Amino acid sequence: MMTKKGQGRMTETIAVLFIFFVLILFGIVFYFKYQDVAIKEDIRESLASRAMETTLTSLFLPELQCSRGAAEPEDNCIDLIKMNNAMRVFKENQDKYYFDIFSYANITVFQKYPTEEKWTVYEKVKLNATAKEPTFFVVVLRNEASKESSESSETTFGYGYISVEVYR
Amino acid sequence: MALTKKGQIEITFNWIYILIAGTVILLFFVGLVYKQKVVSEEKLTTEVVEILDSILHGASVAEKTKNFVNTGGIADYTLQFSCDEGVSNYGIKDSGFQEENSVTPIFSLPSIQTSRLVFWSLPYKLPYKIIDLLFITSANTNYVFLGVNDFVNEFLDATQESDPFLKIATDSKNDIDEVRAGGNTYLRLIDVDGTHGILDNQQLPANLKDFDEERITAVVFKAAQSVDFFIVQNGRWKKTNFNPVNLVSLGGERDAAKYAAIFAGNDKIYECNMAKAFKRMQYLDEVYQGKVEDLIAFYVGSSVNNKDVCLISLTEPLLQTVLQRHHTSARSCVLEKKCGDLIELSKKIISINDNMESEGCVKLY
Repeated sequence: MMTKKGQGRMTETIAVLFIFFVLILFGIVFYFKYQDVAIKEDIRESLASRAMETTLTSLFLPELQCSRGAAEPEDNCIDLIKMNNAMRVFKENQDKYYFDIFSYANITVFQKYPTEEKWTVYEKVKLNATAKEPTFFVVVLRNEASKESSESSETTFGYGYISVEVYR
Repeated sequence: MALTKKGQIEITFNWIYILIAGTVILLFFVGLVYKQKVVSEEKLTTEVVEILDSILHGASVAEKTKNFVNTGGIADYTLQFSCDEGVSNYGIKDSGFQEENSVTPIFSLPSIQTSRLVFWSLPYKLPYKIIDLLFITSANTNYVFLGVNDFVNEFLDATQESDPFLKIATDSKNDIDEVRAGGNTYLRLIDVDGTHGILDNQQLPANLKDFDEERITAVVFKAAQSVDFFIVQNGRWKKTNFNPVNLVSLGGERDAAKYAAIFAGNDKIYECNMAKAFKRMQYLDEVYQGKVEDLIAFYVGSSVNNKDVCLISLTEPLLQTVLQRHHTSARSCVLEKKCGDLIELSKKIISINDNMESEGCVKLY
């Protein structure tokens, strides 16, 4: 039969053990909560980084960029004749090639001057997307086959912006 | 005072209890540390590959850029680069985590262990810009040219940088016997005319015998736009390609296809990555074919003075047909490694484009 002193010690031991395991549990919960937040932050950063990469890729695409013969192409300039044809080529070869470049994204070119226009260059929306990151960049739009050009032989330039939305 | 039996049991129990509890706690923390170590290593590998991927992305879209990355914590690891069936794989050797890239042509040695990686991109034009070829090298790779010509001087000029971090180690010798291993870890010999004794099954010269065989490679430029790639096996040169590898380029300064042969570790890496460029070429040909159609429609409905001249430039010889043949040749380059008359067709496109420019018409590219 246990003495009162023995019972007291046993209770004390159990209490110590209880507090110890509570502390361990608290530590584990804190650790996993921290990991969860860190992972979410990593995912958010990776989406932002992919958005920037896709925008950069779009701006330097030979299919869209304004070329100048053998010279270096013009930066931040989109050739509208090439773009109109590139839109078709992107669509026809989306799954077998261009998805590897843009992945799930929506690339739209908006013209603000001289007239307001909008072209969807590439569109691959992720149906069950959990997040979307848009980025914008100002571009010059070169149109060598405009109505004005057909009368005066001069190239017309517009300006607008390119919007790149990537999905996760 | 003598201990009672009850007291003896209690003390023994306490010690056993402390021992078991201590072991459990210790094991718990050891497990946690071990788990954290594995996670950290995996995270480091993933981060490095992601940084590489990001740099590859940046370097491959901006023309003629050089970049470097200090490998820091992974300087002791070996980075591996390979290409198979039009898909490049890169990552840390034996890590299990590899990144794939089926778009950017990446030219490098198959394995690199270094404290600093250098990235360089050059546009590949045939005749219009197709894609930027990306070259990856390291601070501890020495490119030694055997022989001198205009191309060598141009390459040596192009690799000189005021920023020491972007500098690519280069040298030029008249004879292979003059080459010294030096402090560089990797040695790449470039025989500019195929007359410097790098032949299949030929003995390695005595001055290179002490060098680690796995770290010496060579490329031999031959006449008629072709190259051979060599590795070293059992003290002898071994040609890795069965047939000569063709250089599909228009020549001139900063010939990206020729530069790529210098940086590609072997024929497989070279041909597989060039195939990515030819694949992209097909899509660009389709875009330019569409542009020609639009330009013809534009000039038909136009009232500009040079309308007739421009229409002639676009239709005689039929630019559409030239572009279609260009497209077919690019396809043959990918599928059969035979590029046919791609160079001749590109020259024809240049001629038509120059003609359109001189007539004041809208250029094709």
